[in-house]
Amino acid sequence: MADDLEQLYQSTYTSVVRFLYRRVWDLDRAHDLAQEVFVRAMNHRPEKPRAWVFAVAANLARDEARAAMRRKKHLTLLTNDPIVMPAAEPDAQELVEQDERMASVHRALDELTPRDKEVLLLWDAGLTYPEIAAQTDLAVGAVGTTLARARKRLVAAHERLTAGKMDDAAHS
Amino acid sequence: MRHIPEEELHAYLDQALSRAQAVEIESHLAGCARCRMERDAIAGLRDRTTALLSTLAPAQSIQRPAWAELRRRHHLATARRARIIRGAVWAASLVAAIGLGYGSHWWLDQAREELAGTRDTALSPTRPATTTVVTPVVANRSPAPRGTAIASRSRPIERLEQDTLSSAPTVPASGVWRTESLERAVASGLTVPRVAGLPVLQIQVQDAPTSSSSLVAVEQVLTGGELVRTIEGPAAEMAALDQNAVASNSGGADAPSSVSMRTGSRMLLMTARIPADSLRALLAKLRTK
Repeated sequence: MADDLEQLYQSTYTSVVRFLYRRVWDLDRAHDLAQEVFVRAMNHRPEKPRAWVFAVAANLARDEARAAMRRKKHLTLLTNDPIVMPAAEPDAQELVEQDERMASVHRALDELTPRDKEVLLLWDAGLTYPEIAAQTDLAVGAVGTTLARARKRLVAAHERLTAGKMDDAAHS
Repeated sequence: MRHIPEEELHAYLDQALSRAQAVEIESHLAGCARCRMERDAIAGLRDRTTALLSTLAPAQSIQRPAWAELRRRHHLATARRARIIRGAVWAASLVAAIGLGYGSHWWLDQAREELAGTRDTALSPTRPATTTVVTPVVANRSPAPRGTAIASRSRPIERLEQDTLSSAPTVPASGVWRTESLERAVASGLTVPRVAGLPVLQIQVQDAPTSSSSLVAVEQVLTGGELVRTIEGPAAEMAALDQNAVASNSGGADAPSSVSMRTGSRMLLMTARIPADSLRALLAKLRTK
């Protein structure tokens, strides 16, 4: 059993961190939460460890998002000053472009409903339809429908969000 | 000819269909150009989504800590939890021994003052607890006080005991219980013992000539669904109740815990199917008004 869990850890830790990263947008936090998930798994000894691990990760991410929302509200109350971004150094150009690409996908993803987003991220993390269905209370047959909608919306939202920038680039 | 719905093509490309379903779709695709086009479009959409999501990766690569490190954390957490539980049990017993004895004085005094304030009776707010007249509600019941004798004590007794009972203190067959709403029970000057913050399911009152000698039983429910029963009344009545409960004790692994507390001539009994230290924690949250 312990060996099973260790194997699962070796094979899915990276996916769990990536899954969490896409929910909390902080790599250190994603690592912390992912390790918390596996430490909990050692206590619980779940029957279906893979699905369990992602279910707990999703719950932790939800709690984290709520806490972040509260902090954000609190911070907004504390300061009215706009946050000044540090100026990018020229040799950091490649990083900035990567950041921009990521930001546009991040924004597109945020336009999805919470359920569509969760199903899409769970699929991308490698979960099967039945595993996704069990975790999201959807019927297995509805997972395909949800994924179809989520994929279309993500691509459409991303195209819409980046279209303006491409026009700008074309005109300049 | 029926074309393949788009969600089925997603499921097909995601390899989420049974072998039989996949074969059925493949045989349709072989003869349907429109569905083949649709499949290619969906395959493109699927790849595009995967490509977009792949940009959502942290700049640094993800380093996996050694499994042994996680095991160490797990051991630490388990040991810490055990320490916390041991500490909590110790602290709870200390708090129970000192704090509750003191606190119960306070709330009984408060209850008495409230009684004196709201009712025009012979009760005096300054009268010591030991002189409260215990009026047996039902004449034919012989109260069987257990433990120390109540009447012979000249000062209030603070006592906390913890028993394991097989059943909640059962309401004695004799005596008439009536159900009361919280608002009315409080308004009529009764002591309503309850844990702050827990929903009240039911309040039952066994009336006596004065409200101070009435028995009040409160049923509350924990978030886990466990029932918490708290009964408060004159010690003589309560001792009989408690004894009934002990008499019907048949043991058992899931026997509810019970904590009783006596202050002067008053006694309070709390039972629930939860660990004894949790019950004592609840006792600390008890309110009587």
